Amino acid sequence: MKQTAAFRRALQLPPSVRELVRHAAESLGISLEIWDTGGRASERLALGPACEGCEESQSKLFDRCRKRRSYLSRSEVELPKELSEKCPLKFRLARLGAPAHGSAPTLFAFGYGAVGTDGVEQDGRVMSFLRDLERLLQETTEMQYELHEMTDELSTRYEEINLLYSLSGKLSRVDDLPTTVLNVLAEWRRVLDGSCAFLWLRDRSRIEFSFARAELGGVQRHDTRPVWEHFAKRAADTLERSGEEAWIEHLGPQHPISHILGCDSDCVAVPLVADGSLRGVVCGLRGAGSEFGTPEVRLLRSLAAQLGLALLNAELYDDLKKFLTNTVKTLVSAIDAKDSYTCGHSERVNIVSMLLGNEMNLELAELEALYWGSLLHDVGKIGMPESILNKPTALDAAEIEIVKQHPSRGWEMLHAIERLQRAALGVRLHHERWDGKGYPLGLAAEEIPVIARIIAVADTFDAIISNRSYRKGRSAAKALEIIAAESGTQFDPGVVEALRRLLPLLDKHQWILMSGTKVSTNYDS
Amino acid sequence: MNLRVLICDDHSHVRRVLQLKLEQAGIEVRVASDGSEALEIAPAFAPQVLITDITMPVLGGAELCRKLHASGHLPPHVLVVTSRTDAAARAWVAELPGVTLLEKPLSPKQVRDWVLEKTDSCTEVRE
Repeated sequence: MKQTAAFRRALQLPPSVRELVRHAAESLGISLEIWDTGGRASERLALGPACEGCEESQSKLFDRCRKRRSYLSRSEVELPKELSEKCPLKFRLARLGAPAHGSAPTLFAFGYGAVGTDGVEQDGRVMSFLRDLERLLQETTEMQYELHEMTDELSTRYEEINLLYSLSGKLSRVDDLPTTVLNVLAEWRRVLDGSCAFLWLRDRSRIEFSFARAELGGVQRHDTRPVWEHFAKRAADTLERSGEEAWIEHLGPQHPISHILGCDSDCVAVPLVADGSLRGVVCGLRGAGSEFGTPEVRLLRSLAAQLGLALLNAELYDDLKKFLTNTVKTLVSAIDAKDSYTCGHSERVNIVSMLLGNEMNLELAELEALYWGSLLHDVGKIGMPESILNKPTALDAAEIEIVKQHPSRGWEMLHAIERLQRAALGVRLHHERWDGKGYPLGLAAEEIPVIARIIAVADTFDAIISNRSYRKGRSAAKALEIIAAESGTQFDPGVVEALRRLLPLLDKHQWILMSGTKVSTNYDS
Repeated sequence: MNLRVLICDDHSHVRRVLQLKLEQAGIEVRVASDGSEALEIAPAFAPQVLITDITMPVLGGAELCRKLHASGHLPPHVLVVTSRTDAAARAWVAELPGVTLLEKPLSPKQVRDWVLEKTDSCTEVRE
């Protein structure tokens, strides 16, 4: 069927050529047909008048000849004997096309006195026409084949470009490597009509990710992972030993993977290289009988290179995230070290702030700013004299002025860090008041960023429930009562309401908040 | 099932690649190099699917679809292939029934699968 379609395409002579051939054939009084190799498909180019000798139509003569396919293997043959005896028609048979394709069509021509049965040329004009025609059709057919092959190749390129284009968008995400990898594998599997594509990393990466698999129909079979990993490890070892660009293998019916996929498979694996070392393999499988070719291997290699970069990016991103977390933790320890009374205060304000933020349905970006802002809200106290911060008695006016500088100091420390810019605003404004009587800027209501309004409530809440040298910590309910009394004056009523809704939870877990021990937080930005 | 697809694109390489991919799937394909040519072919050929570019000489994809729709010859499924995904294109595509927008660079396999999927559901509805 495919061959017939290819033949039909090959026979699509340009209309002008067809016309030319038809006119020439008519003026010479000959008939022409092109047959495919088996004589199954044919295209008629010209049909001459009925045979004067035997009264048979030339159309019928074609049919008869087509039935005797033995002609098709020879380049010049005689008319069937029962015909040649009574029929004055002479004919010539010529082979056409590119034999390499295995389906070279045959030109079949009749003509009065075209060629003698003894092979002697009878009519020079007809003979030279047929020879020219043969060459013309040969060239045309070859061109058609070439065009067909080039179109096929172009189609593969289209797929490649489409794949790489659609992947470039997917690979730009650095914060979720497993999803990225799975998307990439799924796309690749789709383009190659594969049954399965997977990625395996030799050592568990720093980002706790080592395996992903995309299957036709998205079927996930959890218990088969060891099989895939064992297979991938062998592929990785083989690739490393041989230094080859790809490892191509046929998996027989006994192979465990054939067992999983339910059929024999052809497999291709390419190394996943990051930072110059082989980190794992990317592997594709397809039902047996369609071995992976060079263009597909090339595509998989470029894909593996992109995935290697994505892996490297994800690891760098992770490093940065950890670096930021550790830096902030160091700063927080420094704040707490300054002020022995409020040990763990920053982390408790952080916990209460995050609870409030969640309760108020803040967006993820706001939550992240709130996380860092609440943790660092007192960072400006670093550099302030401990004699003031730890003073057991009331502060004088000058000392109060110094303490009041801590939000601005904190902002100055943090705002240059791009990642912490929003958080720094929360630090700067967490002593602003809803009624505009706070400091340092005297902003009011919605002018104050929501994270600063939340930190203000959490900060006060923790101050009330914590033990101080001069008093014991009070209950969460009492703290809410005190804060609610300032709702709409000092505090944002919305935040106070959120705190009220959280009271049962805070009450229940007050021992955590009041214990004074540091609570580790596992918020992942 | 006699599945007919009309491809309309002024780039011969796009036509050839899509035609080959669809013919390999046993689909009957006719090609047009601009909207006016497609307008002539469509009524007699009566394709179930039209695949067309937007920017073409003589008659563009938008006008082609509108004219076919007005004359009742708009195929049940139309795939508009374009590298332009501006709001204007989205707007006129949304106005017409059964028209889907697909961004270039296109994947011939994706187009083939889309055609097969659409026409499959089409026969299911008829049955």
